[in-house]
Amino acid sequence: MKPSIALKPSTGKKRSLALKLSLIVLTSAAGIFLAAFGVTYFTVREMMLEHAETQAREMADATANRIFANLNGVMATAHPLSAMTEDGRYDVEALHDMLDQVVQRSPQVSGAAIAFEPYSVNPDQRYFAPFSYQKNGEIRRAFLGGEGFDYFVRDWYQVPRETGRPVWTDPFLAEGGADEMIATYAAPLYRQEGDTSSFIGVLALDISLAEMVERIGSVSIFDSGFAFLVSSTGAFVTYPDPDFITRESFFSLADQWDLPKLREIGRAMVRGEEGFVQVPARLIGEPAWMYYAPLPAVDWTLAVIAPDRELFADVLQLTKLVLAIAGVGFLALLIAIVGVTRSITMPLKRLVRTASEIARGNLDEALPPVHSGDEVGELAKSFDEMRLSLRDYIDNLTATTKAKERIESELLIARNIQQSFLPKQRSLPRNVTEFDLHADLHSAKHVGGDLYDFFLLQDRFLFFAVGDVSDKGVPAALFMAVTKTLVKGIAEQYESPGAILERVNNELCVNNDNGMFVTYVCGVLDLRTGALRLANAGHNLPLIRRAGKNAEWLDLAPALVLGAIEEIEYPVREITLHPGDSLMFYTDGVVEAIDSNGSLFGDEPLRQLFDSREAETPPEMVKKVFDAVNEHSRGEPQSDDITVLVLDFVGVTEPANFAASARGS
Amino acid sequence: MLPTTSCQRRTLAFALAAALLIGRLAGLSFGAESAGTAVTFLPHWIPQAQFAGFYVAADQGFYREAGLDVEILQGGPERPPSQLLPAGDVDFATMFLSNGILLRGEGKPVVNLAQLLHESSLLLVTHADSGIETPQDLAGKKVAIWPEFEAQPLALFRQFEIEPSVIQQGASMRVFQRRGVDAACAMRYNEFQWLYLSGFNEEDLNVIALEAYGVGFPEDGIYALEETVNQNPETAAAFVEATLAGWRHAFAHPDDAIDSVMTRIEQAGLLSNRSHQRRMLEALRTVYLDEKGELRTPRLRQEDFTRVADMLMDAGDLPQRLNYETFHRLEALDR
Repeated sequence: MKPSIALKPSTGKKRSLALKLSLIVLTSAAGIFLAAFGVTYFTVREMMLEHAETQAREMADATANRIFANLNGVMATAHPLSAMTEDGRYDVEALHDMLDQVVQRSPQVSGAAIAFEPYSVNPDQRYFAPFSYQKNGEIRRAFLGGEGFDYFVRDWYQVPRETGRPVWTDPFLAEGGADEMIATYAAPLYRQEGDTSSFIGVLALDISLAEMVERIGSVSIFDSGFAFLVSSTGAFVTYPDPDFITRESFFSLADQWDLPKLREIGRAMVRGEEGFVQVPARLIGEPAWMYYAPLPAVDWTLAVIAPDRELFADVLQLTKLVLAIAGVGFLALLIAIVGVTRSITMPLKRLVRTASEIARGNLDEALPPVHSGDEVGELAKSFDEMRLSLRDYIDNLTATTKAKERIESELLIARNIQQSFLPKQRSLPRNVTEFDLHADLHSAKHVGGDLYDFFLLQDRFLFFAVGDVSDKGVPAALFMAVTKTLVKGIAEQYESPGAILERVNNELCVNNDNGMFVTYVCGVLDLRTGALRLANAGHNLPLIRRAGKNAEWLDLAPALVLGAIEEIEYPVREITLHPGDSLMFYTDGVVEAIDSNGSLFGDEPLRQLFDSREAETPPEMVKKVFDAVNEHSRGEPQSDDITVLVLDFVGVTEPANFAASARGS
Repeated sequence: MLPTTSCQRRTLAFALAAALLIGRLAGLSFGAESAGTAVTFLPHWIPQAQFAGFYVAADQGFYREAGLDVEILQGGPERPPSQLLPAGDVDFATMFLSNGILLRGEGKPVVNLAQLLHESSLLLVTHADSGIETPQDLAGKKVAIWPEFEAQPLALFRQFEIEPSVIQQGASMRVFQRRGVDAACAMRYNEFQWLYLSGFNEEDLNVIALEAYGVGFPEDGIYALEETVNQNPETAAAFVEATLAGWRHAFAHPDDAIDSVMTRIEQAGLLSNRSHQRRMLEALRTVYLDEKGELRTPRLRQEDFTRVADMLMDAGDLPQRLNYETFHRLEALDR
């Protein structure tokens, strides 16, 4: 029969190893990469923002310093008191000279005026404000104030007057073709009289912002970033889009576009704060970052703005490059993984297929060779070796099993043969009623070395015997067959059991190279008289139970076993059986039966058992012994052949009553 | 400080006078000409949404349809209608009711043809952190007041018997912004919106609304000389009707109105932005229109007239009682 190896069915979904490995490796790699990249990106971004902020701040500082550095000095040079005559009146000419000087000396100052309180210089004259200004390369003089030009309500006059502090007006566009951006710087003038200082008027300078506007306008950051000025009310003083200039402010745009964020930025600027903020995309058309800072000494704000896109153009470039590399890298990684896993899984798949074949019992299917030299190759090699040795083993097993079966069947046949050797009750003639006899034999193996025998001699004598060949199994069985045959043949020629044993022994010794021997006890019973002659060749003493008495050991002189040494004499003991007497022959398999504790059945228990016989027939008695022995050695394998023979002497019966005493068979 | 706009304005004033002279010689609408009767109109301030109705009436052709050829002049603080109208330099003008009454009280024969704003939008604003919230808080403080529109704040001061120190307010809120004064005048639809668009949030300012204290005078109205109305009632009526139509259209189509306003602003070389004008128009909407969104009646209520006249008389500015019917000539326009 072909053995089959059962494989456990696979549970769950089949998932390709390549897929699993790819997923794990790639997602891990992706995770690590993204983490590293993310950290790098944001760190670089922060650095760039800081850098941009620093740059913008430096620019704001530099710009402001250039413009307003000298102003204080300029202001100090002009005070009307220096143009006062001794009688407290103002020398108009001197005033104008002074103003001319101011305008002349400072290239930024395009006009200078001193405006006096109404009627303060001349009680008939409401307005008195000498004014010098630059026009077409020369310095002109004029007087401000008049119908339609009430400078007292103008910012440059009113604010210094009411606040007591100098003020910068918001920039405005001057007349004339130059379209010049001008702002007025005005300071209150006081006259000290004792403890009191009284306000006399305002010194106002028109400061040309052309240079500042140009410098600011020329600022370029990154590609399209620019700088611009914002006034104290959030209005655009300079801006690339001329429509915004002085018209729009952060607030008007925030209101028009509904952008509260823009309004907040404007408010921060107006408060004179410094900041670096993100600007809504609506302002320059795309998201942008703006740095703003107050210009020192004025209430304006300088702002520098750059599109987010350009600010981070480098970072984006880097990002794209890194992502491209990552993309290629992942692809390469994926290919490599798939390649490696395939080099693993392909042989494994083949192994699986072959294993399935083997499971079906087909051990001849060889594995395709794997040359990779790695663990998979080792596995394939071992697998194939296993397959080959498995095949050989199975072949051997099959052959051995066949041989065994053959032997098994032959042994069964031998058993049958041996069984047929042994005499049956029915082999005795039916008309013999002088005795009742039963014997049984259980061999330990298929065939055994125990034997029993009984047959009639000359119709007058009963020969009965029990013997035990040394060892067990086939050799013993063969020797037993020889012994039995010899006994049968020799017993016909001699009446004395001693003589029989002598002759049998001599024959057995011939060609007994194996050194086998047999213990034998036999008896010849005269059926008419009850005279019994017994001889013993090294066998266990039989048991005798006289009628009405206890069973006791039948003492026979021990002699040597049969088959050991030639020319041995075997003494004979003669006794007389009376009707009702019975004998028990047995082999040592009975008394030497071992139980699970290793203790023997023992002689005495056997005697007691024979002693306890009441009305059992010889077959029943024999069975009783066997049952006792089986009971004793329950669970233990039978170690020796067991034989029991029970003989009941009935006695002579009326010859005419053969039919009446014949037992039905 | 350079007399830039002043120069411009003087030039313009001369041109204006010349044009008027020519116009006068040419006569005022005695019979319809193909171009319509030529009239001049002077708003009482610089071009802004405050006069949107007039600009819209012109741009949308309402004046033309009414048979008028209206020239809208450029107004401003240095060209007050209170001088130019009595002088006959302009045909129609707007001014505050108080100014009209005062002129009439001086014997100048101006008449009110239509009252456009029945409520005052005049405010006194203070900084929130100054703690000045009520008129009483203004005692002893420095307040900037427009001389042209001083009647109402002075009435308020009289009412609460306070004497703050008053200085003249110009066209800019800068003195207030820089805290040169504690309080300043502001029109809710104009300077107040300007403050918002300069970064002031509502919580940064306190507001004393003169209307809330009963010293609110009705403000903008259309005025002409009595003689103009007597001689050309149809022209006057047509002007008023077309103007009202202009206002209706302005509130119904604010974007059109802002376009018209911005055009005038740019023509005048002034600087403003759409946000300011839009906010101005929206602030005027609640004063021009009633709850149903309809233009209020142009009829000056007699009680308003009497109240203002009385207050001015108490201030000593109005020497004599005035007659309501001779002052308010809307009925004369009914056809």
